[in-house]
Amino acid sequence: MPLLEVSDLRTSFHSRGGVFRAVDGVSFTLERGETLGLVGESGSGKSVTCASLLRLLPSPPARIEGAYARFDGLDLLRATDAELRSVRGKRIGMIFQDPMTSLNPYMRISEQLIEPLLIHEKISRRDALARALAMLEAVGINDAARRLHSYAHEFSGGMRQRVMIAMALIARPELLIADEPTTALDVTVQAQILELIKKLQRELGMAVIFISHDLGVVSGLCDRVLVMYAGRIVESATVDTLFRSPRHPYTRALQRSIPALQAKGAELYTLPGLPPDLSQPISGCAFAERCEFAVEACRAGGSPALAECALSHAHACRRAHAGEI
Amino acid sequence: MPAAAPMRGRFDLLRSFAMSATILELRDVYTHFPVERGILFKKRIGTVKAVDGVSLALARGEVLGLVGESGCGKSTLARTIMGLLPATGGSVWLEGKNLTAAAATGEARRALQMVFQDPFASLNPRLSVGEALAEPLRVHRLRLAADIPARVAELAALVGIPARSLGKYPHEFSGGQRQRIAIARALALEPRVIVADEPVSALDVSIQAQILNLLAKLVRDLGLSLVFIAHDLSVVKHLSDRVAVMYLGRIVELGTACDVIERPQHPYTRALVSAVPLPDPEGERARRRIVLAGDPPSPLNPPAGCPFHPRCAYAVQACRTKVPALAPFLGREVSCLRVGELPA
Repeated sequence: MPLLEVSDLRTSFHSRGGVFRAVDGVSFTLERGETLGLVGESGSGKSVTCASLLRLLPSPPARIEGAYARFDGLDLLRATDAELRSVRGKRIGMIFQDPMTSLNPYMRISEQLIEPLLIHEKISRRDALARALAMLEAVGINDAARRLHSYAHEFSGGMRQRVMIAMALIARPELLIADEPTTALDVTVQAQILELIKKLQRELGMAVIFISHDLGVVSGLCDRVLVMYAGRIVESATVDTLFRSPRHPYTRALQRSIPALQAKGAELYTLPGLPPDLSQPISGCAFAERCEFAVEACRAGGSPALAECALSHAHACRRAHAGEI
Repeated sequence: MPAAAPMRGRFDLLRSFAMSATILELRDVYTHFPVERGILFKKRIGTVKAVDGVSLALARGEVLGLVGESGCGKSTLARTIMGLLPATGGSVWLEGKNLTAAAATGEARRALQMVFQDPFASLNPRLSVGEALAEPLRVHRLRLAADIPARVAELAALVGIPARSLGKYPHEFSGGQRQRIAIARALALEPRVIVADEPVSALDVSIQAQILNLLAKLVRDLGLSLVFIAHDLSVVKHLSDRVAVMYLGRIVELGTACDVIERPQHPYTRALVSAVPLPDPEGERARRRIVLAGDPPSPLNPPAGCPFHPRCAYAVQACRTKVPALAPFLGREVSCLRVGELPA
């Protein structure tokens, strides 16, 4: 049984302006110990997908519908608040994108670190503090004993992000959801954090969902990648397959627009237009307006379904499935 | 020039030739900030050496990439070039004029314009795009009132903003389009040099590609020179002719983009380059990554000797005491005492 099984997740935001379909039918599974990358542009629904799983979105305006999201047998979409609390911070840890706003400025780091332990485990304050210290050392904070009782503002950006990681991992979760954990950091610090996640993952055997818009970061860390566009998964493949033989035109376009792979001076491929407005109904394929291969048939009917084209490689392009691209 | 011209005339010609090759020059620029304590009786307790002796020359039509970690002083350097921060030492020369001299006028600075990182913050929300583009033309009296609309339309066309959008306000545009508008505004005064501080960092990959293509096109078509600041090395390599790597307010390596990024020599540049994740899973697994320990030291309290020595795998005793100067090595300039002895 997979650790996490999500089926037809749909999250929309309801406001006076209308209904905004941020996530529109997302299904995937995650095995124990696996690292799954979730990539796409801003607004593609990556973060909302993960926030929906932990039911972190205020409702209203958010409304989560869907078949189910089973985490080790427990349907997260229908769990009671008490059941959810027993999972959040204990069995599922989360690292948020912005460490500046996700740490409590009024609480000492030590208090924030031991909070999940005191809530979820029968543990004395002293033992919890010892674990907090060990965790800070594990995430590479120098002079951790002295730093333990500092406040968030006394840390640099990279160190705050490491504190966030320590908080997410201190209860030894089975699943870590990392939402762009390195986007705000320098490449040198990013390299440290990625090495750290890999190392802790080996030691704890945890599964990771890694949200990123940086294909380079994903390629070095993930086993499997889901590409999202306009609230839907458009391609799903192992990391090697995705980079060697992407099938969906959107995945191809993303790869062609990365400067690293282009010769100096060559013009970068650019996607024309903008992502669709998700508060409007979309007929046919949501990417058709920007797709160089789109034909009239692409704009008709419902959204193209995600279907396998090879073993553990699926995409949602009708023309690629028909062998026309 | 007639052959019988006096010697002096020839020297002047040579000098003007050399000057025409270099459009912007930084001579040993320092930007230090005092750190004070106390309210009434301020006492100076330290100095943040954000830019600590930088010399650079930018040629006409050249794109110079400036890279380094946050806090290395690249944005402070950009602001010092622009005159937004006063240089505490050294001088900035634009087309042979000293911009840091007291006599330097706004007129002299017109040829130097800046594009900022965040197009959400750098445009006035209460001015329509047309008004935002017309404003610098009016202030500097570059056009007669009657000719302004035509020039505004021309600027919009240059950056790919449709003329029918000129009546719209910044909030009606996406991030990529706002950055185009900010670039058009910088171009309004017909600058010869543009300083762009992380112009694509706030944008998505696909939008980033559009702005990079636009900058490359403007450099080519308008003969602009560009100081391009970014922390993303693959972006810098794509756009730049030369690259300068900064660490704690100093340049540690300077050379062609190809040399510096594909065959880095300074230990810091090597670590920086090896930390960039590549979108190639097989290559990533095969790669040996140099992971630097710790954060960059604070510019308030920089280490003695080579500023990089506490994080450097090759540091020896001499590195702790002697400050290395930027010196030629393998076709570029490197400031490392041990540069000749490092493994290839």
